[in-house]
Amino acid sequence: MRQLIGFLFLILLSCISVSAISSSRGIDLEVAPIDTIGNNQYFALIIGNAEYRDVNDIWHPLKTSVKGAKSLADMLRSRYSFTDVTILENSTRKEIIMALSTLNDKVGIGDNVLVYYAGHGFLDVNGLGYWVPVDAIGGDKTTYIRNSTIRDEVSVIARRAHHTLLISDSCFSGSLLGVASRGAKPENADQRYYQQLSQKRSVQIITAGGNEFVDDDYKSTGYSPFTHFLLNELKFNNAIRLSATELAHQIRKAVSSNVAQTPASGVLQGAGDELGEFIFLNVMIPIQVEISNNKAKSILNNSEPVDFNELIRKRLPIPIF
Amino acid sequence: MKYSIVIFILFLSLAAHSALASTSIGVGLSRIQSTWTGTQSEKSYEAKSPMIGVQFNFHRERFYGGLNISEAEYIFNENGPNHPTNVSYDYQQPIVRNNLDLILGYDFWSHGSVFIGTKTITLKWPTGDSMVWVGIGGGVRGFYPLNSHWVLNTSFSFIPMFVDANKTATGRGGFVGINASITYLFATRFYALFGIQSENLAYQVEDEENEYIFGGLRLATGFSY
Repeated sequence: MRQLIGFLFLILLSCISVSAISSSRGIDLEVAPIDTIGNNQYFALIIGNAEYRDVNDIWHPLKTSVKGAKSLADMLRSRYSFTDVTILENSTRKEIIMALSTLNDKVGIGDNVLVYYAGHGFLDVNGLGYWVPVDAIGGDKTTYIRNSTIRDEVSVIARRAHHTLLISDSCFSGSLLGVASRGAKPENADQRYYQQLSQKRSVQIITAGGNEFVDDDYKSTGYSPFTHFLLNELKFNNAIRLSATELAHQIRKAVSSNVAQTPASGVLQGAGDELGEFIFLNVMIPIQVEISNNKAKSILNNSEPVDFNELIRKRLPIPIF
Repeated sequence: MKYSIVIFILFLSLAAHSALASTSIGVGLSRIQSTWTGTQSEKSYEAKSPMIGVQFNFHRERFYGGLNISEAEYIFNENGPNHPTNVSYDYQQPIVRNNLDLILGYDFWSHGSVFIGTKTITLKWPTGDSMVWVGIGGGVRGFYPLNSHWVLNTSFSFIPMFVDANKTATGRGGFVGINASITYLFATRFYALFGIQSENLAYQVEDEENEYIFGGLRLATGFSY
């Protein structure tokens, strides 16, 4: 019996190792079994790069990235239901990738994840986009972070998270976009509308512009135009729920009306988007209680516990006698 | 029996890599620092041994099932349990306990389920004598997620059992199992479990009543597809 158990142990190891090897070769063996809302926590990774130290003097320091990142982090903590907000200031290539990996380790089933980047962006002659970390060497693309790397890291997070939103305030950030954005919210959108949207998975992107340069400082506000209006829309939002698409439409209208720049939004291609929506939950609005079938429901907790428990059940070992 | 289990496991391993979107398959290992205490007539005894186990399971919709296999070797040094057919043995030699559970369950509630299954316990003395318990029974399992990572679990089971001693004597008994644990679900598909397991096996063979109690701290880990 011990030899049999030892043999079974080897099979277990081989199954795990095959899974690991296959993942590293890009074969997707994992399909996140999420099809419903969970007891979702909100995580945010906020990256602001301003103090570039390029020895070739190509990447100049920026004025507003770090301040914008800090203000967004404060906004998410104080006004919205984000319980875990990590802010990186002036981070290197390694620090950014490590932070995304750490975020993936923290995220649980059904959670919501927002990743924000403000800093330089680059588009090469082949149309490939990059984020530029503060330790980038001008002209050496190997020191940048390629869009494909960003997509891969976010896709890994999106396998566990139920809703993922990537916001990029950098030049040429439109190169991250895969698919065009969704339609506008219907006029009679109610709680049911948002419930339906939040039940489906989403992996969305909002960018400061298309494949174009974007401004750094807007009218001496201390923020870029995109981040200024992003903060504005989040600050003056009077609704309990704000979807990512609604936010993107409002920012697009505001930015394009004021500067020669057109923000864009869409979906991260191939990451499992199911036409759901990342929903910002406004904690500044007093919690309203609905009475439905003599059962009180909190609007901020509109997930069906049964579905979350189903996800848990499938991960637990079976009982033993 | 061994080869059918191996084939079953190979099937699970292959099936795990197929696109079974609504079905998850898991494997797990466990170690129980178990203590076997018991009484036989007026004699009591105790021995400790790590019990190593393997679990293979599947979940589909609200159904789940799988098998648990475990083994331990107990050396009593003195006053070990004698075989009911009055075979004596060297107490310095181990008595090997093997366990095989086949389980099928259904999640009736959001936090709980009912399961049924078969249990086979085999004790082998160093003399070659053996006892086999076989039974069909069931139990209930409940869990409570503290958050998206930590989950409290508990289960209770009861199995009426038929006892065979060396195919020369038979008897009847009952098995009661109680488990309590806490599980951590990693962001990847791994889990780690820490808990307590307790089993009570009481039986009667040839008018002699015996009771075995197994239990101890349980550590387990596993992976689900």
